[in-house]
Amino acid sequence: MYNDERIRRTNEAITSRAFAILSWGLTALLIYRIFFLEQVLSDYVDIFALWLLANAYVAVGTTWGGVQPFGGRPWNLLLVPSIIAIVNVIAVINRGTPTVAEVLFTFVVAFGTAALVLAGFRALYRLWEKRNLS
Amino acid sequence: MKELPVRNAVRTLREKRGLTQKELAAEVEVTRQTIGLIEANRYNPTIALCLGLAEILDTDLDTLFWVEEE
Repeated sequence: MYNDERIRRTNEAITSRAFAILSWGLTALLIYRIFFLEQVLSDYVDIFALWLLANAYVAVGTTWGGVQPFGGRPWNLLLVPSIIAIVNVIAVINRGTPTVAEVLFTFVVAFGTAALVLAGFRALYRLWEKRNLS
Repeated sequence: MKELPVRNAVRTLREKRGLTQKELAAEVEVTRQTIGLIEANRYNPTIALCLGLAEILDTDLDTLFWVEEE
């Protein structure tokens, strides 16, 4: 009986863990290529695209399933973009000796992009709430 | 959230009605293994399956499932 809820739940749990392994593996691979091999985007664009697509699918899927991004804590709207911006700044510094303007530009662009994406997910969650909880 | 120790009377009521695990499983459209795990308190079924079991075993949810006091 393929409709057995226990089998379905077990399959979902296992495939979810398998996805987590692949996702973290891709993340580790990207970190290795960016920070240790000091590769440019064109060198790892295939892995990056796959990583982005998979994570976007999870983020949109969970948000549209009624899960607030990053637990819905307001300080994450500042913290998460800050972490992303700092990682990007480290990546830029790691590649050479950038000017202060270049570092600032990287920080602002990375922070702004991350904040915009996060705000987009919060808007998506609000829309889900409006459609399902009113 | 801490998982509640849910217990059930599936085995007792199934045997009382002279049903095998396989027969009960077929009635509620799950595998025999799922019924075995429910009876062994090793799998918490969904509310839909609980209702299906209650209907087949001709009982109510309170009689069929309960949370064991610690």
